[in-house]
Amino acid sequence: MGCGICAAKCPKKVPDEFNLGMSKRKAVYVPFAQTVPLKYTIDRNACLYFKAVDAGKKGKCKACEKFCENNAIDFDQKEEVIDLNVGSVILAPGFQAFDPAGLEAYHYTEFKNVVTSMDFERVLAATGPTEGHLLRPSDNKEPGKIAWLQCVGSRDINRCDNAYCSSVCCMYAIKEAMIASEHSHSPFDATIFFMDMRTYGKDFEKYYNRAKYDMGIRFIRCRVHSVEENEDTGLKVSYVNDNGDTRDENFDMIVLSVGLESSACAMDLASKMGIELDQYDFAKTSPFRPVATSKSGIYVAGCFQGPKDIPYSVMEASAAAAAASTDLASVRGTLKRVKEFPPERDVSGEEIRTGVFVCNCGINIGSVVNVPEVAEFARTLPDVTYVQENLFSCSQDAQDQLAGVIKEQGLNRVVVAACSPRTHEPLFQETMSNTGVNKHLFEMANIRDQNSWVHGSDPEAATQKAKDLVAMAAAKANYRVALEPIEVPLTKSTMVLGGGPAGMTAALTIADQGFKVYLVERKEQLGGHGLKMRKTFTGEPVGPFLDETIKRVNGHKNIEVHIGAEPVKVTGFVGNFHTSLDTGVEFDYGTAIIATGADSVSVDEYLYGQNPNVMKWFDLDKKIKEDPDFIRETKCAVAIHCVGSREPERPYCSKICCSHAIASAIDLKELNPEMNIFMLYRDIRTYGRLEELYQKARSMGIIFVRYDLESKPKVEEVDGELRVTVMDHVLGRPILLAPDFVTLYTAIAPRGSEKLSDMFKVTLNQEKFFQEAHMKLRPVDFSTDGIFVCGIAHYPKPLDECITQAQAAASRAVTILAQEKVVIEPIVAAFVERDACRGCGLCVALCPYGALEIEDTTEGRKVKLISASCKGCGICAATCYRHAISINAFTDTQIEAQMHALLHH
Amino acid sequence: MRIDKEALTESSKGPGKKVGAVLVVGGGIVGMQAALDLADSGYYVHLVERSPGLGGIMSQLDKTFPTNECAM
Amino acid sequence: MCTGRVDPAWVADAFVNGADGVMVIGCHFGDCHYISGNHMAKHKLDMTGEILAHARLNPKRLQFRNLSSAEGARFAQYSTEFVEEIREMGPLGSGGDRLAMPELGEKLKIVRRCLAGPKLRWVIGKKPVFIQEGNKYGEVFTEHEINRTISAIILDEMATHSILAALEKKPAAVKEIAKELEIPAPDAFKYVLALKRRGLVETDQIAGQSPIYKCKAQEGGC
Repeated sequence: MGCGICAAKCPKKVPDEFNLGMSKRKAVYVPFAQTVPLKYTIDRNACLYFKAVDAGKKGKCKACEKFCENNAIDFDQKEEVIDLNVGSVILAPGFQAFDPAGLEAYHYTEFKNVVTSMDFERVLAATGPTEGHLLRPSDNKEPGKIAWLQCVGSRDINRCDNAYCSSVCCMYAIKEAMIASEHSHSPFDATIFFMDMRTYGKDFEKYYNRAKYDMGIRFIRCRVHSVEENEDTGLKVSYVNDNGDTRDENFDMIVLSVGLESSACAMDLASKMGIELDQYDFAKTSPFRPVATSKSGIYVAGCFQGPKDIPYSVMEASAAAAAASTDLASVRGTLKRVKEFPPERDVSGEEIRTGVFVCNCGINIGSVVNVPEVAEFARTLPDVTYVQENLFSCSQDAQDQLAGVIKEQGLNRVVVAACSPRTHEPLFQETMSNTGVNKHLFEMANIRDQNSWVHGSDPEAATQKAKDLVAMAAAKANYRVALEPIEVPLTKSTMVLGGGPAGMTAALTIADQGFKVYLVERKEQLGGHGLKMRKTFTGEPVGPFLDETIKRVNGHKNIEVHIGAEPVKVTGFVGNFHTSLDTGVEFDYGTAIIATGADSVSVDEYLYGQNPNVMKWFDLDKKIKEDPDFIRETKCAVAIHCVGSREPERPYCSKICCSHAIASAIDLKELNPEMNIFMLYRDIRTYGRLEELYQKARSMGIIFVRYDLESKPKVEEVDGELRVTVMDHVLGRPILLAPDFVTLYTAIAPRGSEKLSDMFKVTLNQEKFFQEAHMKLRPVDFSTDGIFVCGIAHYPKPLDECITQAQAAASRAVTILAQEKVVIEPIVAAFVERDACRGCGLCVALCPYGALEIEDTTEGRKVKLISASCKGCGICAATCYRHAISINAFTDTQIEAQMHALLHH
Repeated sequence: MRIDKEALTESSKGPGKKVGAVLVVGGGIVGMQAALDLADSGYYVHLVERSPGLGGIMSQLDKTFPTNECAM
Repeated sequence: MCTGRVDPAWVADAFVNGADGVMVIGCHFGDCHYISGNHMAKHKLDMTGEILAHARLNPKRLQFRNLSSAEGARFAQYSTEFVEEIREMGPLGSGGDRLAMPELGEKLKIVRRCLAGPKLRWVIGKKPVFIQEGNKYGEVFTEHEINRTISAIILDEMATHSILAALEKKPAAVKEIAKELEIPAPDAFKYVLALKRRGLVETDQIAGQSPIYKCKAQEGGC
């Protein structure tokens, strides 16, 4: 039960892998405090007993077993082989950080103050070896000057085989630099040495700007080739600056921004599963089926699919789940297990009988708080009819006993004073349900995490605080009432808005699982931007995929396609939406997916719209396809990146322009190897495997010229000919080009998102892209339940990522559609005094979730509670001037009772 | 727990007979999300993790970009 | 539950029940788990602070802080600092409070009534709507304008509820009320008339030339 006595008594210390060896742990351990299950494990390779046994000797020690008060340690446990019958497999073995020990130039492991970015994460973490204090390893002093060296084990074929970009290092380096400067007590100098700053994701560029302009983090464009150690364990870095001068600079510490690669374990797993790997040892996938491995029924998600950040990993996880779910839809629910509980006792007429259980948590609470005194105190509280002390309230024994006591004593309220409700409330509530008492008649007082753990040095005060907390919990428990889950009906269908690749993929993923889909596309044909794409960035033709997809959508018995249509009205909530289209069609549905896309913007710079040879994006692709002779006759072509992106007006990177521009440039070069091609760029952002494109383009002789926002290229027309002037940083002087045509890679901006945002009550970010519920962990959900987002309406992304995200959105929608009803935990807004409500609408205006509406009833205007949309924030309750509305389990009476218990006892 | 050699064989029940359960290998953020989605979609999930606890590499990270939220 | 759930009346209730300080901690702005709850809480607590100041409580006894759930150490720091600060002030009625106990306690009860009453709840609830969308006629207000209105309503409410509380104890003439509550007599007269119109106050008897007012018996008290 995680008391930790075993670890406290274990005599064997070993390096703690969680802190990358920078601290020690015992041979019996939990990996980290928040892990699940929070159970101690014996590390067989470190345990003194097992080491002896494994060496053929007689094992001794077993200190943990001796001291464990719960007999939870069994040295006779044997490894078991379990056979599992499964319909599908998802591989998510993750990545390993590149080990820079092999790179001589950086002297990792040799120079103490050279650490990896993973090491540094632990240095910054409050749970790390330095408890979050910024200290360098050599002398435990606070470093005042730290350098990050980018692309260590990435974009490198000379010193390692990782030609790809690891996709995340630029951002994590900025993050580490920011957090380090926040942790620093003195003036702090953070410097990031980079090749291209790849802040290509949603809100990444703003983060970069904040680091650069607001926090003063230095960015130096240079790959550092060697590090030397000074006498004082400081480090000397030699680099070439922008002007081509070689500089030496000293730093207190160096962080190597190491790349991501597949681990030996992952590769071993792949070989056991019989799936193919690509040349970088990531699982081989196709851009059209981004989570499918080479073997049918086996899917891959996360960094084993390719290096990526957390949100895209989470998307892939959902996408893989959708793929598996599609395969197995015919046997859905056949192995599902549902917990059954006995019927509930009606306690509403009973006198209040509260039982208080005070936990020692082994020694966690008992060694600080005087538990008998707290228990004795609890007996004096109003309506408390039973009090008991427990060694471990969460043990199975204690649960059985709790169930027995509830029955014997006829308890109708239970208070457990122990640890955190966050981790343990569900356990106790389940025991309540098992005994037929409503689980909402339970209250918990946390006398461990926020008491014994933080007031260890003052047992008396901690005991007093425990009493306060118990009194408050018991006072609230008195006013607790039984609550039932709220059930609302569910229409098992989805509306998908947008008929591009993302929308169609989402529609098919849901329809293939047997659910009805209404696919709404504003144009007269399906396909979206897919129609203009010739091939993916990795070279696969898009046409056949798109034709097949459109054919499948049109012929699918579960998909109703509405082309040339747009929604004009959306009402309802999760499980129960209703939409009217401008074509007059109306339908009900349970979930919605927004995949309405975005467009490249038009600009009024660089002679766009004035000279026919200044094109943008797909204009060039069309030309390549339709007029190859023109391309063959072209002598010189120029592409300008970041047109309208990464500028004050649109402070974000459009993510796919670099790759698209380079892919098109390669096509040009292949059609006409004599052509001079100039790419005018600010940073090349060919992340992940797309780095191959960049390498190929350079090897073909395509010329890359970097420009700054402060000195943008000039495009002029002289005697009917195009002239482009750009400042070359390497040469330090302007270059004059005379291209036959110029292609502008203009920013990608959302289309019509404001209207939809109003209609669906979903949020947008500053740039009007749809804003997901959580940047990291809920990348396709909205905070409004039942609505999901995918494709470039969320943010620009290449086709394969659109498909992944579409599958992910479908997966999230299916988690709702697969149920029989929408079931909501009843901690939501509820009337305490419906008669008092005048339907004034004050709460309606303030509700952040659209969970309140005004309705006309026979008793006049009243507020209607849409529990399915309510998140229980309570703004309505705190505002209602008639005191008509409240939040279940957080009513005025309950909270005031708690407060009075604290202030009066 | 780990996946042993020769781990993957065709079901003894023979081809064509589907099983409503899924094996998810890896208890990091990805494995957990996949497992949750599948369980919520009506499948029985076997979530297999090599180390003694769930959490994976994300739990080792301090904060996450671009919101600087705690990774834990 | 969100900081947006914190009812201003609870804050007053805490002081009435003997709390010497109240600190409310919400998510960082822009990072609210409930989208906008912390902003709502801030509006409400600003108003609560203002009305408490009218009751002559040291406004520093009520403080608002922003924290994320990941900032345990800072939570401890804020708590310690706040407790230190309150300790220095001492119990209610001292340390910067401009009224002694038990008078301050009586005032705080009035504040609780005001905060539980409809008028202030209505105006504070409308504040974000007025700032963002404007009133019925589409007039959008600046925060400054709204705050001025709120200040005026606070004055009215404090006076009104003080009069009601006084009349609950014993019937009185306007002159007596004005004297006891230190309100100019014409203002007191205006408030009493308004209360009479709302049916909360009635004439008890006429003593000499001046009417004596009393609290009208209401369902659930005055």
